[in-house]
Amino acid sequence: MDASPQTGRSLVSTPASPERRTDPDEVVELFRRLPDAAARDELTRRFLPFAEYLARRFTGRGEAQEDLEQVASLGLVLAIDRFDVERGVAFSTYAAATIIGELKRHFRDKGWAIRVPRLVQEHSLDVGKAAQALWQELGRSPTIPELARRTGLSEEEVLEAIDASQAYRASSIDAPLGEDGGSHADMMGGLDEALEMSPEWATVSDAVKQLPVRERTIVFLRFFRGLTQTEIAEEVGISQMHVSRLLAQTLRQLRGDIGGPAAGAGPGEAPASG
Amino acid sequence: MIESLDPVVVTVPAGPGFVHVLRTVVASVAARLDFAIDGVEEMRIAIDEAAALLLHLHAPATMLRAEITADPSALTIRLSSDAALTEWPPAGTEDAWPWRVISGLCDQAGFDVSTTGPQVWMRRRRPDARS
Repeated sequence: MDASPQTGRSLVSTPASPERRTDPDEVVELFRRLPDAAARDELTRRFLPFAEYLARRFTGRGEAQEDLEQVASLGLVLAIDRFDVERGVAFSTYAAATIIGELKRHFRDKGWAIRVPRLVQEHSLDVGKAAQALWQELGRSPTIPELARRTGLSEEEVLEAIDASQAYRASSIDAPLGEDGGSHADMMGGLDEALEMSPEWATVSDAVKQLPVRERTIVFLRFFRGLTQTEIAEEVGISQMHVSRLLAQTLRQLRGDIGGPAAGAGPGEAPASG
Repeated sequence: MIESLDPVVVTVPAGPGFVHVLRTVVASVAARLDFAIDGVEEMRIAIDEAAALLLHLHAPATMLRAEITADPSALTIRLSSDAALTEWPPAGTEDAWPWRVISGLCDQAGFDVSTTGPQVWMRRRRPDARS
């Protein structure tokens, strides 16, 4: 008998497919024991790698892997809750549909890259590459007309592409894998000490202080040291486009966190010196 | 290369969903003034921050108006709303985070009162203006 008798479609016939390691009869037996907590735990344990596998199929679309895995495991929990053994469908089939549904809904709700039309996504990549190349040739950030000439796009298309690229989590495009665990975190140690020493930095709200190290460093260099994006790019060792994206995303996030200007001041805010 | 620019004026309903229209217009004008991509992006952010300041006032506004001008040395954006003026800017605004961002992104920025209501103005030097 085939390893996945009821789920021969490519959707779930994967190396990670739970049928390979889980006897369907055992799964049915576990479902019959619900709402027993131990049975539920066992089902979750067995199918979690499957959920994570499905989450991985959505990587590279602008969402952090751990977020996707969380959404997928939520989908798994929902699937376990809703599954009806009497329907005669393999649980993995049902779970895959539920989990993929949750993942797609997550992208829809978040309005991330998936909503950016494919053509604009391609333009974004082209513009990103052209910006990097021109930056090296010119020794400065290129202008929009320069990018338009290089990519063959219109100026409006270039503007749209840059705007759209902000919709991606920067991590999905050119961040080193493993967000803050990469090599840049090491060199930022010294900058972190500089932050501690800055009297102005002491006046910012906790929302700013609690940013991840890379975002915090970029914000500090831009707004407390007055460096340009290009200078920050050199300092931090990432591209100017990447600095731009991180800056835009971080500030947008802070606006959301802070709400309004009235709440912008941290609890212990002192008047800025100078 | 555009030397100077008669005002480009855009008025949108006062809602977060329409700030994007202002951002787009400002980005487009900045591009025509030969701002580099980081400059264009930062003016977009500055618009977001300034619009947030105006939209978070206690007095509600029904519209946001951006007036964009340029001379050979700088791009100037005046963003105003029609909110009833009570206290402008609200106490503490200049010490708070959004203002640090705006003043960091622009060479000069300030508060004013326009014919319609509260106004934030922002000025950023043009890339080839060496002064």
